[in-house]
Amino acid sequence: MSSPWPRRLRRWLPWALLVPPAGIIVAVLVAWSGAINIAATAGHPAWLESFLALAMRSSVRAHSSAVKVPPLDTDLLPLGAAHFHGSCAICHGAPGQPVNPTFAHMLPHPPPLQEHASRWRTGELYWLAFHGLQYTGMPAWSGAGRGDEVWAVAALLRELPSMDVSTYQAYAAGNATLETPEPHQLVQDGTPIFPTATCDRCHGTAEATAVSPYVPRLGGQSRAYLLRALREYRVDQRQSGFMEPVAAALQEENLAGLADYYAALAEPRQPSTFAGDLQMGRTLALAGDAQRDVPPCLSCHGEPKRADVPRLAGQSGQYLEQQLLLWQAGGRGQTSHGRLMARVAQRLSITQIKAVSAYFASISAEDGLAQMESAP
Amino acid sequence: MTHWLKLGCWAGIAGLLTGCVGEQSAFSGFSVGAARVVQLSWILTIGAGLLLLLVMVLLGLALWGSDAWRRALRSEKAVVWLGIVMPVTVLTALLIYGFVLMRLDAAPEFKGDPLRIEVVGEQWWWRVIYHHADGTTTESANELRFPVGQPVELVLTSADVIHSFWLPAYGGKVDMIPGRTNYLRFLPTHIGITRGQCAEYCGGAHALMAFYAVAMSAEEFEQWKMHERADAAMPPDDSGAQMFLANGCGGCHRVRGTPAQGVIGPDLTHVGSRLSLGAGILSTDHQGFRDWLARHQQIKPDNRMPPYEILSDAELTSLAAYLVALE
Repeated sequence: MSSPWPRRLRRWLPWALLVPPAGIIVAVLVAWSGAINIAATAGHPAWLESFLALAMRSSVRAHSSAVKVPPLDTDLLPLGAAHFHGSCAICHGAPGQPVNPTFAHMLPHPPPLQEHASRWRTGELYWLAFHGLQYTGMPAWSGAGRGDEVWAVAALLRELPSMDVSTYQAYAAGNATLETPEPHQLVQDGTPIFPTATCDRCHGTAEATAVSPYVPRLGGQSRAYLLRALREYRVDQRQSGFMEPVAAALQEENLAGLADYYAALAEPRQPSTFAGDLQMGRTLALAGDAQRDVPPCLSCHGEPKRADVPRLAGQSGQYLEQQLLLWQAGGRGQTSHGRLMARVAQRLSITQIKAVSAYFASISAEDGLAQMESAP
Repeated sequence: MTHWLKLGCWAGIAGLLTGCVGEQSAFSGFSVGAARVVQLSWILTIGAGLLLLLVMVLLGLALWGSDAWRRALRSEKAVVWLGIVMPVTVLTALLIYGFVLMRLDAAPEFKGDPLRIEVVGEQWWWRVIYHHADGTTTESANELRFPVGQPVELVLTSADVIHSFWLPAYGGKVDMIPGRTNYLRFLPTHIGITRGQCAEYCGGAHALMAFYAVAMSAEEFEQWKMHERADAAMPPDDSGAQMFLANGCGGCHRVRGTPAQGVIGPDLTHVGSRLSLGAGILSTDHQGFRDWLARHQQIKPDNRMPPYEILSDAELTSLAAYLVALE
């Protein structure tokens, strides 16, 4: 009883223990009373704004710290821009297009990214686009597990602050034409600067190849496969943040026509830029690798084949590699066709994936058919 | 309590005894060597039983017998005769009997030209390769066929992990070790269909890695071999054959006489005439093939064949009909 501290402590302890429950009761009472104005127009007081910004920035920094930024090549830009323009620009604005006033009145205001993107590191931009942000209206990437796709958007965002309007619009429009609409068209169709949901923005046309080697070549692909892919995207089976929003906007009755269109399309050929051991790729395609239990690719993808199995000859090497890596990572196991291919893809080595992607990219669709006939 | 204990004991014994009969029994003794092992096992078991009885009787006499018995048992003479002379005599006799019985150079299975069959253990099935007189080979799977009266030499290897070849009715258990060739020789004497299985844990579907052995008369075997060496029969309706190729089955499976020349999975040239499907799991009738094609990853989880959920009901029917017809 000599020290005064225990005595003081004993006097204050009951009061100290009362503070947390009392705080909770007060908080509940305040919430219940309706005194807090949560209107978007009310805004946040400056101190709260700073506090929330601090929490958000720190959380993004901490959670994106493990993200490893791969080398991002410029071929990703057209794809990133086409997606950004279709899905992001309406809230975040784009070069030559301000933030849509409807979304500018959200709280928090979606930042115009041409100004704001430079405040984040590339890994943070990737993380934000992939995972979204709670309580802000920023959605996560719609293709579950498709972090590989998000790099195209991160590559664009990195360049966006220094991008001029014409460069951006050329990327974002891709193969879609940019005609100034007639007044009556504007009145009827409400055409924005250019259509945001056309296939031509990314995919090839009769005159032009696909805008990026990361975009698959659809011209001449089997009709049943195209139809199957569109359906799988539409019902959220096959995962893709690029294709799912577009396919979801289509009607079931549009799909057959689209499949017909691309099956009949003769896309101009673009020389392959993909590097890999062509001889090894050819062996895998025609004979497989029995040592690793890998059957020849052409046993399913050659002739005769099921109608709903894709043709590989003349496909882009980058796209093939990306899909095979996705299969290895388990990202294509949502469909029965995907589960079948997953077993085979998981047996390939990285070198074999590169080799076989390069091989199919190096042969034309016609050559491919001739070779398929000689396949086992 | 004791009632249940007794019941449990009987159930256990009954369970153990069922292992001694039927298609996969080490007590069958269907080859010369296996029959000797069975004979030796019985002699040992009965002999050991008699000795145990003798010891128990003597123990009883030592505990509760008359003074005369107890005196006799603790005499030096009893210790010398029962403790030294008898064990030495019994064990020496057994040793000599064992040497005579197991004399390798006198074993008939090592005389004459053996039928050589290569068996490769793979996860989780058996690749069976027959070498023919003209130097050609044909492949089968999960099924061994041999004639009685001719020595059989099995050349045992593994394609991946350690397996163990065990065909209890004809021979012992021999490990299949990657990078090494082991041999198993036996002289089959009994015609019949028996079952064997992998006896070394080799991964997830190990328990579902069995096979059948069919011992036939020499003529029947020759007939079978002629048929086995022939290419696959072409069914008049080739829609199933086309479907087989279009679905890429030929990438892994061979059907001799067709463009399907895969070497990864079992050769299916005569799969319709085999006794089992999926390494001793399903029957090779229409329903068996349908079940395998539609649900093989559920039936035999993680087997190396990719799941074919993409096949429609009509496609399953057509493919199953084709495979059944591959007799």
